[in-house]
Amino acid sequence: MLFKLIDHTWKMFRRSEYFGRSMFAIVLIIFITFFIISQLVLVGRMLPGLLQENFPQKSPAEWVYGFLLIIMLADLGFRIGFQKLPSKQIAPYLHLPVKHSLLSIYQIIRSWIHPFNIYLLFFFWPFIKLTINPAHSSQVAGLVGIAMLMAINQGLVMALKNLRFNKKSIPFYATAVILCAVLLIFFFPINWAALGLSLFLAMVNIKPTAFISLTLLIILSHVWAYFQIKYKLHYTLDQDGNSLADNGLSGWERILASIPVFGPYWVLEWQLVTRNKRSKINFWIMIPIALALAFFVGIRPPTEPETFIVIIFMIAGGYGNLHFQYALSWESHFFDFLATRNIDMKKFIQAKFNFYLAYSFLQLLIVLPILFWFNVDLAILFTGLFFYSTGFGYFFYLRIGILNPSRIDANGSASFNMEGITGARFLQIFVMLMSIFPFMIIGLIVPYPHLTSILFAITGVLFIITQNLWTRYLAAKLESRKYTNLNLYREK
Amino acid sequence: MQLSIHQLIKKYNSSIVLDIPFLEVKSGELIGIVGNNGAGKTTLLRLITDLIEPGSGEIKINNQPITQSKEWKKQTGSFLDEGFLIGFLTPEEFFNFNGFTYGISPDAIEQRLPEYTNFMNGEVIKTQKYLRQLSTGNKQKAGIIAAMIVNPSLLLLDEPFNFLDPTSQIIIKNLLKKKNKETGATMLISSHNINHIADICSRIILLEKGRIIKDVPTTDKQKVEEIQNYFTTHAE
Repeated sequence: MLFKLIDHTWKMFRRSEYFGRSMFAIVLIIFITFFIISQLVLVGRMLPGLLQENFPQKSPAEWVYGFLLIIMLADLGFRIGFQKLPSKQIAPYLHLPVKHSLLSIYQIIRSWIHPFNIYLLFFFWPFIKLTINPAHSSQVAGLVGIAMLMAINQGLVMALKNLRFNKKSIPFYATAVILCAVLLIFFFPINWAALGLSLFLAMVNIKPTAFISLTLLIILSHVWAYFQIKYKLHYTLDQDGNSLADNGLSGWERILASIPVFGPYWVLEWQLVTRNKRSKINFWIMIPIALALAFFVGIRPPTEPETFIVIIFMIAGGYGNLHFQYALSWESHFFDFLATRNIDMKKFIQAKFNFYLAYSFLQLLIVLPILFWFNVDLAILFTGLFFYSTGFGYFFYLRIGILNPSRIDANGSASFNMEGITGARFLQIFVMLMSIFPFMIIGLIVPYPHLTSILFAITGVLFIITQNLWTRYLAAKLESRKYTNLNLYREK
Repeated sequence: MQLSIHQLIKKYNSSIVLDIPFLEVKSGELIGIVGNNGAGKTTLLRLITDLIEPGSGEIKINNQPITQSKEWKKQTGSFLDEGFLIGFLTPEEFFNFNGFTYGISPDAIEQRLPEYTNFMNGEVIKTQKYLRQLSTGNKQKAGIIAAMIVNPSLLLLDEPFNFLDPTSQIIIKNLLKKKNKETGATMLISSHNINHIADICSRIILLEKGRIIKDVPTTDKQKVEEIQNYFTTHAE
């Protein structure tokens, strides 16, 4: 039976909808995979030299292996946040006469097939090759040790993600864990660096106690995961009933709804963004990212702000800049509804535009004082790009969005989801990025202070104040394109 | 197979969605479960198939609590919704795998399939499609066939008439009646269609807000009419 289930895993992979998708998506997946691997290998190869040059007081090996336990802790945190476990894919087997113990083992095996279980090896292998002398220690044993530490994390993440508790008590448990950790560090200070280094030395010197301890920890974490998974198999389906949403609008939604003209559309937009996994993820992190960028760029020694123009451009437009890259695809699953209702498409598009404009403006208000504090030139460039990105940028994405029939599930997986990624979409982002360079060239040729930023701002503001005109144009285009898009949505 | 339920309560977010103090289903009975949306029909079937945990109470199949032994699974066929199909398999692969879990060989499955030829109407097998690519109606057919093809002693179907064309609805009704007569299997069928249920079942259970409010034999035409009137009264 287990082999049958494993065979299903292969079939699921081979018959995955990705393979039926555009050639571009497949090429992009392969390219991204190789890019990430090459970056990890590159960091592993370059880090010893960089550390030696910048921090000569300690050897590169002492630096990195001293951080080994912290790296593993970060890996665990990363996995808890992003590693998706195949618990839902077990559901079709639950009503069949297949033992739950077998399904739990199958789920453990399935969970193992994940890039998170190998990615660190691409960094550590070149690093170990450069820092461990094979004449005295075993490089392979070092790598095996790292793989074993990752295996412990894999077991822990499976167990932790299958822990059964009420979601409302997460803040309580999180606070308790943080408190315990703080108390532990306070009363029993541990030299993490020394511990990590000793562990790694024990591994490369092939000390049996180190490998036995690691093996035991792998077994323990997996046994814990096994019992948690087995216990939770019922709960997999129980969640359907528990996820009952509250009835009616929340207080904030009622306020939005009460705004004249655009209110009901804004509520729909708010609900679309915040109630779906894929659309939600960037919505909440965009402002923190902008803040981080402001600090990162601000604390650096004064340089020409134009050095960061591409990054600033991608962030200045706020969440809307990301959301509109899939403009009108988010609605693809309910476009039939929109198309058959008495909806003023101009108002619909305009409401959409102003919703994201307002949200990005909020981001600007938060970020601008920080930028002004650190670097006035940077603040001016950020403001100019804000207007350009939200004015011209949003128009550009909406215009392209009307021609774009790709269908995406707003509630689909938030990470590593290639749905809706097409060559055309890639090209549109590229064109948008390229569009800023003529402004920069003018700024270089004409010696007037902040000319580039001023030109960005003027162009953007023009689009914002003429929104009545171009949204009418877009609405007409959308109306005439409606049938084509609806047909293509259905086909897909 | 005999089924009994004792003091069964299921809660979601502290609200009771199912509360059945006692229910007994005798071996060979063909029972229809009717009720409005949210009455608890699907929850009841999911509890019987041990897919969700009861808040309290017990379900026994052949006098064995379902949580203690899993033997009953080998004699139970069920199709509750599309989520129970393995989308990346072809219907043939799905039937074979389904049979395998019950210890039935692919050859035996192939021999049993012709019985469902009319029901499949040439649109389920040999279509070079994966289950996920079938229409909703054909997915429904594949799920029902998978549940029935293993000749279970206990068959549980949730809304089997949904998404089916009128001809297929009649075919499946006749198939269910025939199987019940031939194999003596116990069957629990939930549906919104009171006429279909009254046509094939020997007993109808009316659920409302998680409680059984009527449990009548279909031989008693007056009581069946009372159930029909119940829905009419609620609609007014």
